[in-house]
Amino acid sequence: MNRERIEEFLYREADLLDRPDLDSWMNLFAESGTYWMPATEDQKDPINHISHIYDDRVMMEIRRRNFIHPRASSKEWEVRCSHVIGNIRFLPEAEEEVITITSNQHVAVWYRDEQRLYACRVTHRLQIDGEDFKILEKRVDLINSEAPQQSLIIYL
Amino acid sequence: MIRPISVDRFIVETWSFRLKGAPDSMLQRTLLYSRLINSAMGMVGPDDLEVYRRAQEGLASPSNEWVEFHRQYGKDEQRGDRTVGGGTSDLDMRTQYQAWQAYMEGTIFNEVKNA
Repeated sequence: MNRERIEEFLYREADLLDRPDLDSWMNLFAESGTYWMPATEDQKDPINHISHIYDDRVMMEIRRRNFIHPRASSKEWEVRCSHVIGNIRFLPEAEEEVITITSNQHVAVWYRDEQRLYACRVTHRLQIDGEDFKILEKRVDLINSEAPQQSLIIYL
Repeated sequence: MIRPISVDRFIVETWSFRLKGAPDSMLQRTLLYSRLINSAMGMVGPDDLEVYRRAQEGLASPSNEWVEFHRQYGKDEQRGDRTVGGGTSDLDMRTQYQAWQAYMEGTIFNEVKNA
């Protein structure tokens, strides 16, 4: 698999979250695509353990609408992010037409008069879709996943 | 559970229980609820926390010495052994502070002691 194309995809995804442009970002996901941020290290599954977030496309759509809702008090503040992606690695994949990549990501988030820094290991399971990709799963493991977190209104 | 840290900081903790003998779907449903409602990335939590924070900032303002708990005051309904207020009533806050005052003034303590 062409490494450059995959890096390009990860950068494009990060760009959409940096702005943020959730409408376009959501469309990078397959219909069955999910976004998961576990609340413990090495969490086995998102169903039988608590997570910070585990969204399917339906939940992403609800969030996308809520993001610009005039009466959602937490959304009155602008949010802007800056993703830096590194340490990109390919994992062996049993299925055909599917690629699994891990990367380290540092995300600076500007929200509510404050700049924060999140550090995470991100796992993308991608479906090859012609020249492009669709996200089957995006898993974000924060290095401080067990710590109390402040409100986070944007996907990392 | 809201765990106070200092005068202007607290941690919200969520506890989910797996009941003995209950189907897995019960645990899965309570976890789903916590993710959607209580989580720092929930659909409700961030809006609630924003309101708490605004209330805290309002309290830090010197413009009003009093915190008002008068919503639906005088409209409580007596139903046998209980008093019922409407959904937006401050009845529970008034009751809580009345109890606190009674504890602080020792009236409850004296009632128990003299009983």
